[in-house]
This record gives sequence, structure tokens and C-alpha cells, in this order.
Amino acid sequence: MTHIEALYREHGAALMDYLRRNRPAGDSAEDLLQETFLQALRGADRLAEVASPRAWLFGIARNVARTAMRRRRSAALPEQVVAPARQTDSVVEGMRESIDQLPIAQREPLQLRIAYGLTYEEIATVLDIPLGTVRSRLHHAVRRLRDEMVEDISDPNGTT
Amino acid sequence: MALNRETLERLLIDRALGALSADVDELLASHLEHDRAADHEARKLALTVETTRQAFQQDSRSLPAFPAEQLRGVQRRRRRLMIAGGGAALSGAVAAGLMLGSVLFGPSSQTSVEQTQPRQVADSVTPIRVRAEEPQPQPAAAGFWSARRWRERAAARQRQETTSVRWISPVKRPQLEGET
Repeated sequence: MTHIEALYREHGAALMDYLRRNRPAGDSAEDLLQETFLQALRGADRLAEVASPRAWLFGIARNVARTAMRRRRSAALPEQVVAPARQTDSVVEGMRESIDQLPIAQREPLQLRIAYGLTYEEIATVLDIPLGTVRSRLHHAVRRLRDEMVEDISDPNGTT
Repeated sequence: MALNRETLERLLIDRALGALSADVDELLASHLEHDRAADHEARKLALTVETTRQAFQQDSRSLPAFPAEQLRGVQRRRRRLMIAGGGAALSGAVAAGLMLGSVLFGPSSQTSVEQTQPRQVADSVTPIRVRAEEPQPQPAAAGFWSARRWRERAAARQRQETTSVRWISPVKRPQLEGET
């Protein structure tokens, strides 16, 4: 129990944020977080074997969110995975739209890497895909976002 | 150091995502000092990732307290279920053992007889298993090895041994004591 409580203190906020963004309408992130830690407690004997407790917890949270989605008869992740707008910066606003346009296969690893700082290996564990697939999906996502983003930096050589 | 464009782009994206090891990052930085186009590309990618980070900015709402009580309750219930399950399994095993023991090593005095009812109606009568009546203890006198029989035989033998013969005259038959 104390291990799980320590993990909650360390990763609870990120997991709550993740569940808030990936929950179906009608489910509260708090309930899903509690379900996540309940499942973690049930499988606590496996904790010693896992390479990254953070990846393990994110994997559980992802399954909990997906189960909630299925329960709500919605197979896809919610459209709005990015945080609601807090600033009127048009570049950030445009980026939010671009992220929402990404396929889920690219959006998920991007979110796990940029929003929660998971390593490529941890993302591979959470999504249960090979490391090379994580890398290529991230590269595709970043290239696409780069291409869609409004150019702010002036090309010193004028070649843009 | 000549890097092909594709490899360089992959390295730049990994660098923007903060996924390069320190030594590779250092080597790439020294390369970028001499490659202005690549350096510009690196800055574009860094800005893309930074803007993405802002778009993903975490919701800073406070985390609720750890639901320790609920989780402890669940843990207690789970432990109780495990104990109950273990007890039930143990009882089952003991009961099965007793049944098996009674079948294999049951008292031999209890005999059972398979009796098949005559087939009066085809297929309507199935053989039934009838347990014979428990043998009742017989009265001692009737039994072959009874104590009373043994006592009677012993008394008769004693009578035979103690009966004296009276032979009064050589011309008369000898008489047993008590005979007239």
C-alpha cells in the first residue's frame, strides 16, 4: 500500500491530467484515477518486476480510459485531447487544432512524450508496440506539425 | 562529418523531443555550428515541440487526496475472500478425503449386495443397490462359538470324569454311581 501511495504522490497529477484528457464524456477523471490505482493495488505483486512503474501506471490508466470509452460505446479517443485554451496565442491555438487532426496512432505517443515526458521505451510499454514504431510515429507527428505550424523564425539565409 | 539529410532530420527530431543521449547531442551541436541550414531546421523543430508542449499544457487542478480508505477496504475484502476461498478449498479436500477413505477402507462387516430387479417392463427398471441388514448379535446359546456352549461342554466333561463306577460282584455288570 505504501508503494502505491508513493506512486500516487509522484505520478498522480500526470495521470489525472491524462485521464482528464482521455476520458469519455460522463466519466469523471477522479473516478478513473481511483480505478487505475485500484487495479494497480490488485497487481502490486508485479510491481517489483516492471522496469518502469510510471509506464506501468500509464498503461493501466490507458486501459481504464479505453474500457470507459467502450462502456460509453465510443471506440475513439475524445476529439479534444489538448488542454482547453487558456491564452489567445494564435500559434498555440493553431497547434491545438493541428494536434487534434493527427491520427490517434501518432497523437498518443506524442502526448505521452511531450505532455508527460515518458521515454520512448516507456511509451512502447504503455502502447504495447515496438520501440521502432514509437520512434517512427513520433517523427511523423513532429514533421506534420512542423509543416502545419505558422513559420515564426526567419530563415537567416532566406531559403524557407 | 557528412550526414545524409534523412538521418540528420531524424537526429534533429529526437533532439527536439529531448531523446538524444548527451554525447550524441554534443556531437550534433558541433555539427550544427557549421551547417546553417540544419541549424535552422533544428530551431524550427525545437519551436514546433515547444509549441506542442504549450498546447499540451497540463491542467494544474489539485490532485485529490490518496483514496487510502477505499483502497484499504477493497484490500481487506479481497483478503477475506482469499481466506474464505482457502477455507472452502480445505474443507472440500477434507470431505473428499473422508469419502474416499470410507469407500476404500470402510468396515468389512458392512456388506452390500447388488440386487437386480427382474425386468418386468423393458427398460423401465434399473438395477438398484440394496444394502443388507446389519447382522444382529445372536443369543450366545445359538452360536457355535458361544460361551454357554463351551460351559455346557466343560460341565459334561467334568461330570464324565467325576462319575465313579461301582463293581460289586464279578458276576454282575459294573454300575455307574447313582444307577440302581
